[in-house]
Amino acid sequence: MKNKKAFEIQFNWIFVLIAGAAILTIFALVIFKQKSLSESSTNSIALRSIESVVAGTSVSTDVSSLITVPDLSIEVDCGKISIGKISKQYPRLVLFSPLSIKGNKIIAQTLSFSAPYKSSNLLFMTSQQIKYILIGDSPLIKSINKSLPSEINKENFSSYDQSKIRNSNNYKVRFVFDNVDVSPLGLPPSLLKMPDGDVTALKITGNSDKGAVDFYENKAGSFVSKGTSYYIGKAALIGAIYADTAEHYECNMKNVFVRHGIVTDIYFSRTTVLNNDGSMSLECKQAYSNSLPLISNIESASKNLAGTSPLSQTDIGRITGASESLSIQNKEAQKFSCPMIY
Amino acid sequence: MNNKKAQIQIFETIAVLVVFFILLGIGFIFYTKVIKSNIESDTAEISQSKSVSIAQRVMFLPEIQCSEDNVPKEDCIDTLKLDSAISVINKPENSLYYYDLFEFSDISIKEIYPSSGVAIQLYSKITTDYKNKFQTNAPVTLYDPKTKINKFGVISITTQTK
Repeated sequence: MKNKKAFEIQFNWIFVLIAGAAILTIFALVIFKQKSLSESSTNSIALRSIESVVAGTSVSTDVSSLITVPDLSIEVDCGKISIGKISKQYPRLVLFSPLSIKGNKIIAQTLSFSAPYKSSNLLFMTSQQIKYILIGDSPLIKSINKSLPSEINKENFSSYDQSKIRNSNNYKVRFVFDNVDVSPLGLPPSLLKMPDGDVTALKITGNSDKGAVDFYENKAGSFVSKGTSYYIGKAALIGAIYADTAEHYECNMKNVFVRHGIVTDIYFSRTTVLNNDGSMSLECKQAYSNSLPLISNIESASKNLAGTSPLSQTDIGRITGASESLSIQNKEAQKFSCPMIY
Repeated sequence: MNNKKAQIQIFETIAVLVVFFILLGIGFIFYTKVIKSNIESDTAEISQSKSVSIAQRVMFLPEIQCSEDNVPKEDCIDTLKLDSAISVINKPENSLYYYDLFEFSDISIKEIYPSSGVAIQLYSKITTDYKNKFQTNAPVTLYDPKTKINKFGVISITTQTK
C-alpha cells in the first residue's frame, strides 16, 4: 500500500514536469516567433520609409533632408536595398550612397542631372556617422563643400596635414582630393586602426562640368587604387563622392544614361517636328537643323554608356561636346524668339 | 479508497490543463485574427502610398514636363513632348523601363478648356488580377510651343496594386 502511494506521488511530479515543460516550450516558441516577426516588421517598416524617401525626394530637385529611421544597417547594392534579411530590388534605382548606411540619422539629397537638358534626379544618401574630409582650397572643393548638405559630418582642410585629422569614431571616413596624387599619401595615424576598406578616398581630376574620378581605399595603412571613372556635371561628381566604389558609381551612372537616352529620343522627335513646321522662321529652322545631329550624337553616346562598363571616356566627351554646342543653339533659338529646344 | 482519490486528483489536473489549452487556443486564434487584420490594413496603406508615389513620378516626368532654358515648369505638359513621349514610352525596348516606374497603371491626359478633347493615353498597363485601385486626377496646363498657347487639361492616373 505504502509502495503504491509513493508511486502516485512520483507520477504526480512527472506529470507536473511534463505539463510544465510543454507549457514553457509553447511560450518559448511563441516568444521566439514573435521576436523574429517583430525584427522583420521593424526592418520592413524601415525599408518602407526608405522607399518613400526614394519616391518623394526623387521627384523634387535640389533638396536635402535629415531622416530619422530605426537604428539599423541599410545595405545598398546595385539596384537593391536590404535591411537585415528583408531586401527589395529596384531595377532602375539611381541612389548614390555608401554600401552600408548605419545609424538612425540618414541624410538624403537630390540634384538634377542635365546634359544639357534635365533627364533625371540623382538621389544621394548617407549616414551622419560617416565623415567626409575635403582636402584643398580650390574653387572646385569650395563648390563641393557648398553643395553637400550642412547636416553631413564634413570637414574642410586646406592641405593634407595628417596631424590635423582626428578619429571621431566614425565607422567610415571618406577623403576628397582635388587633383592630388593619392597613392603616395599614407593614412593619418589617427585612422590607422580602422579596418581595411573603411577609409576611402576620391581623387577628382577636372572641373564641375566634366572630369575623371579615381577611387581609393585603405589597405595596410596606405591608399590603394580601386578604379577610375568619369563624370558629366556637378550632380554626377557629387554622386562619386557619396558612392564608395567605382562599381557602385558606374552602376548608378548606367541607369542615369538609360534614362538620358530615352529623354534624348523625345527631344530628337520634338526638334524634328519643330524643324519641319512650315510656320517657323529661317533662323529658327537653322537652330533646329543644327541641333538635330547634336541631339543624335548625345543619344547614341548615352545608349553606348548605358550598355557598357566601364564608362567610356570617348562617349562622355561626345556628350559634353554636343551639350556645349546644343546650349549655343538653344540660346540662338531664344535670341530669335523661337520655341526653345529644351 | 485512496486510489480513487488519487485518480480523481489526476483527472482534475488533466481537466485544468485541457481548459488551459482551450483558452490558450482561443487566445491564439483571436491574436492571429488581429494580426491578419493589421496586415490587411498595412497592405492597403502600402498600396495607397505606392499609388501616390507613381502619381508624383508622372507629375514630374522630364519626358513630358514643360521647360524653358532647362528650367522645368510645374504642372505643365509640353504637348510636343507629349506626342513624342507616347511613341517613345510605348516602344517595346522601353516597356520594361516604364513598367518599373509606373507598374500597373493607366495614365491619360485630356484637354478640358477651351475645348473638351479626347483623352490621350500616355501609358497603359492594366491587369484584371488586382486588389486595390486608386485614381488621381490633377489639373495641368497644356502648352503648345509652336503656337505658344496654353490650354487647361486634366491628367488622370489610375494605379492598380496586387
